Order: sequence, then C-alpha cells, then structure tokens
Amino acid sequence: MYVNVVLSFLVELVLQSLANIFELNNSFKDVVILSLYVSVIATIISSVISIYLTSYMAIKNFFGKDAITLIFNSLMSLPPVVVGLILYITFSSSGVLGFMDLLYSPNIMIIAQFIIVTPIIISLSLKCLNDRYSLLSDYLFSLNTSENKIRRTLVYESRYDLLIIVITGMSRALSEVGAVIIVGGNIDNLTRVMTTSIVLETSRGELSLALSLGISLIVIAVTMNLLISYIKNKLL
Amino acid sequence: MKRLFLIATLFFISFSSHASSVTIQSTTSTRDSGLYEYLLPYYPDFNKINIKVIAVGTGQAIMNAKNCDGNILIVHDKEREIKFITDGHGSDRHNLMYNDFIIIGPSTDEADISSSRSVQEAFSRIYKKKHKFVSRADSSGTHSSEIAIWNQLKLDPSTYTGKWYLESGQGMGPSLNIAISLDAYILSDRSTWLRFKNKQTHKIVYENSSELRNDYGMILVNHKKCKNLDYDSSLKLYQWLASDDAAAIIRNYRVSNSHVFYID
Repeated sequence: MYVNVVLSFLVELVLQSLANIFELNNSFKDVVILSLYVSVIATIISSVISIYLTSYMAIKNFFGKDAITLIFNSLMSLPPVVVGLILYITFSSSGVLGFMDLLYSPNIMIIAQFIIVTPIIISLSLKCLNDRYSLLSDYLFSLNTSENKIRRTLVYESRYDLLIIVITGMSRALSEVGAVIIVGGNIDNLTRVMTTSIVLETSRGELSLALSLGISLIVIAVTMNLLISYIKNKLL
Repeated sequence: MKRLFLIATLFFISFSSHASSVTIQSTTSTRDSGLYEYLLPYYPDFNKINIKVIAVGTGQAIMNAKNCDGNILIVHDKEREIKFITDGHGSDRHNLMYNDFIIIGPSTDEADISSSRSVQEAFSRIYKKKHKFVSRADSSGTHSSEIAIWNQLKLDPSTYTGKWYLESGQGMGPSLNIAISLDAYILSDRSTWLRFKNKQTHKIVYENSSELRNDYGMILVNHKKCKNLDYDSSLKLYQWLASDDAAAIIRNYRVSNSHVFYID
C-alpha cells in the first residue's frame, strides 16, 4: 500500500519532469551554456597543465616523487565546499586578492573547478603515464632521441587513457555544486549553473523542475561522451 | 610553460568586466518569494547597471556585507541589523517591508496547534507533546524569531535535538521539504510558504500577523569602510528601493492571488 503511494509519486514526478524538459525556456539554455562554459574551460586549463607536468614527472625519478604523488592522491578528496570557502576568504573584498574583483563572477567559478579537478587529473594521469613508461621505456630509449621527444611519444601513446581521465575530470567539474554556489553566488543570468539551479528549485519545492534539470544534466553528459567517443574513433 | 601562464592571465583579464554593479546581500526568503524578479526590472537604470542578488541566510548575508562583498543588505533580524550599524558597517537603515511568520504542520494537526490562542501556547503544546519540529538552526532571521519564542517560554528544546527537535541547518525551502516528509511542524515566513510548491498535505496551522510580524530591514553598507563599493550606484538603488514608487510595486506583488509583503 505504502509502496504504491511512493511509486505513483515517483512516476508522477518523472512524467512531469519529462514534460518540463520539452518546455524549458531561454533562461534554461543560458544556464546550460554557462555550466558547459565554466566546466569545459576549467577542465581544459587543468588538463593541459596537469598532463604537461606529469609527463615530466613520469620519466624521472627524483627526491620527493612519492610524497608529491601522495599529496595529490589525498587532494582528490578535497571537499568542494572547502575549496569554495577558501576562495571566498581569499577573493572577498576584504581578502588578500579582493582587489581583483573576481568574486561572484564566472571566472572565479572556473578557478574553483580548476582546483577541484586538477588533483584528479594529475593523480590519474601520473599513474597512467608511469605505467605506460615502465612498459615502453626500453623501446623509448632505443629510439635514442631527446627527452622532449620521449615525453611527446609517451603522451601520444597514452592518449586514449588520458582522454578518459580528462572526461573524468570534466564530469567532476560539471556535477560539483558546493564550491560554485559559494563563490558564484547563484546569481540569475550571471553565475547560475545547472547544479546551483537544482539546489534553488529544490529549495522552492519545485521538485519536478529540479529533477528535470538533473535529467538534462545526465543527457548532456551522455551526449558529450558520445561526441568524444566519436571523435576518438574518427580522428585519433 | 611561461606562455601558458600568460594565456591564462590574459584570459582572466579579458573577462573581468568593469561595468558598474551593485550587489544585494539578501535573505533566501525574499529571493524564494520571487520578489526581486518582479521588482528590480522596474528600476529605471535596470539595463544600465548590473544588479547581483546573492541569497543566503541572514547570518551569512551580514557576514558577507561585513567583508564588503555587498552594497545593500536586506535581512530580517532587527537586533543584528542595529548591531551592524552601531559597529560602523552600515550607514543607513530603512524599514523596507513586512509580512508574518506562520506555523506549518501536518493536516492531522496532532498537537492541536490550530486551537491555541497564542504562539507561545502553540509552541508549548508542541513541546509537551514532543511532536516533531524542524528548526532552521542556521542563524537566519526566522531562526532568531523561533529562538525568541522558546526563550519567552523559558523552554530549551535543544536538549531534545535529534529526537523530536530537528535542527536542519538549512534554508527555509529545504527545511520545509524536511518537515513535510517527516510530518513535522515548522515556523516559516509566509512568502516562502506561498511560493513553495511541494506542500503536499501540510497546511498553515497557526497564524496571527500582529503577533508574528516579520520585518525586513534594508541597510546601505558603509562606503567609508568599504572603499571598493560604487557609492553612487548603491545610493541610487537604495533610495529607489526606499521610495514610494518601489513601495507601491512591492505592495502590489502577489503570489497565487495573495499579497506577500506589506508596507505601513
């Protein structure tokens, strides 16, 4: 009996959400675009820097390598709210970097997601490149070329795995809410992204609208992954 | 590597805009009521300046304004508002508008709140019945008002925290969601409740607008303490919000055919 009530409630919610998706208005489009903009830029900047750094770290053994690996592995579990809080304190008008006037803007959301995503991309690509390097080191040395060439070959040979790592990072950025709601402020038309609008609609009790936003987020993730796997098959 | 940093720096510089902007640090209840979306487009300079509304609890809004991250503060906790001004953070205060608090409860009303003659009686009935009650517990204006009622009764429900006195630590909307799914009572402001969609079978079990008046104050953040703020734009918006024009618009605002905010 009780299960029936719960089930019918759920079915009703899902049906209503599906109806919502097809009637979502312009502001919804802006929210999706901003979400993608912030997360894609943060992931690209983070990926370029992280893969560049880890390609150096992978082919060398240096003092403290294990310690650095440990630190980045631990930073993967950094809670986004803490990142948001630290950035708020730093970039608040009374904070050290307050003069930059970045608080409550899309740029600081990019910084926040960059900080959240980077440890993930560094840790995973370091592991990936380390493993690949120990497999390929004999071959790479037999080429007898410069260190730069070795790094480039190593990254090129690991491109599929690295792509998956970049997608992992992007998914983290896209689904994160704790940091962007503090530093972005969830301002309509300026810093409102999909996850923060889900929080807002939930707090207004608009559960079906919130759920439809959640479903759209998943649809976007699926589309993005399909697109990337298409590119992978065609180009790489 | 150097080139990379240069690109990153250029990127951030190119995107930081310097158009004049005014930030309103506001409580969630005024945002959730939909007032700003309705009111602000009437502002004559609406298209010329960038008005940012940050909606957080009263406690956090005051903290943000102290850090100079807002030009105008709209909250509902008179004691803390006055302290904010005497501490020198605000330069002017205006009674913006008011509505009232209401007690929301399950339609069965097991603690028989609807027959109580005062809010104190209602609260003590919940206390005696040990019926589930959700408290905001987030140092918001609504939370302060709730605590004030318990204090008048000399009761301390926090000894029962987690048993029947449930401290959510979240905003009005999320707390209402909790109260509704747990069949609990909750103190809410009327505007959030009117706009709230997930009411299910919960209803207003106690209301008395003169006893549970909820005043919203507006404070102009002191520009002498916060040199970063654009004083002219903030003052202009502040004066408009305090004007008779804005008052008429606020009075006219309706949600599902009932008035939400009042001005004397």
